[in-house]
Amino acid sequence: MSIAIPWDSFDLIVFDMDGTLYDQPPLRRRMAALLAREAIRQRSLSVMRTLAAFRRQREAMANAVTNDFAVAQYRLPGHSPDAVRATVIDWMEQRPLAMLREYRTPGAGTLFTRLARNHAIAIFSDYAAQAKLAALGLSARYCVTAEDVGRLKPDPAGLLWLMEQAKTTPQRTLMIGDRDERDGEAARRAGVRALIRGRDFRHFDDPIFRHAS
Amino acid sequence: MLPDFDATVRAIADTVALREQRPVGTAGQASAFVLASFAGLPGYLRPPLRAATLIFDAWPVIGQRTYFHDLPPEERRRTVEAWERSFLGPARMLMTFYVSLSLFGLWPDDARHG
Repeated sequence: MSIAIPWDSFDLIVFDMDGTLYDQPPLRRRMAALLAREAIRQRSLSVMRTLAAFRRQREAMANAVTNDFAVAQYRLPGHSPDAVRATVIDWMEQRPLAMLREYRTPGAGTLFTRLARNHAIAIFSDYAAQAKLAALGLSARYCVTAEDVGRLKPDPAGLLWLMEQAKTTPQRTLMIGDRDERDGEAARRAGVRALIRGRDFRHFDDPIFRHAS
Repeated sequence: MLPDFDATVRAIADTVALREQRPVGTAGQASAFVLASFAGLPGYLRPPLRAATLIFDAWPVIGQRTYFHDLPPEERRRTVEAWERSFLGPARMLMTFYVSLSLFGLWPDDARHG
């Protein structure tokens, strides 16, 4: 069953990045293989354990409000925040860039081109997104991350900020993501309609996007 | 009974999940991730890794007359840790490979995506 989307009634189309604009599972498997190779080379699981602890910390922070989010996310027991930050940037932001284009969600390029004619396109991501967007060969008018607003999804702070920048309302905004408990919930809290990948569509060639322009 | 590759991978992932203090994903999700990652490895790497895994599974037969995947959890943990500390480089590398992938499989998002 296809959902009818009144594309003309939206000014702002907000995309989540990870899992929405590219397929995460195959990229994660390749990154896991690279991390395993690094662990074998270094004879140590320290990089893997640091990244795992950082991910757990971020997941825990999604349910709490922290005033110094940008710093607190890197504060792990027994680690220097600077070292954690460097490891995260290296392994979670820089190294995946070269592989991203290969896993771009089918139809994303065409959809962005069509939407850009009559809509403002924005990215709302929990992780750094500008470099990933460029690596995917896509562009957006606005981009906001958890570090910018000091809150992780499902807090709608980023979505509210984007609507303010675009001078539009929740009724004229559409959120497109892949996690209902994060993207969908952020949209609900902001009063914005959401489309969830895996539930409402599989990729951007689906009929639901056919009339988007 | 013969060495069993899938059962061995599942048993290693179970062992890592039990050993971790705060796993977010389940052992089943971790083993599914490890098996999927193995399937995605270059073709030239899979046969030697599979052979090494089967040797690992058969190793306890010498002392305990049973395969690794049939051992109780504590014995499995002892075996994994013995191989992690082995003086033989390939044994250490094999365990680092599987423990590393299992840890990744226990990450929050990976637990969900498999």
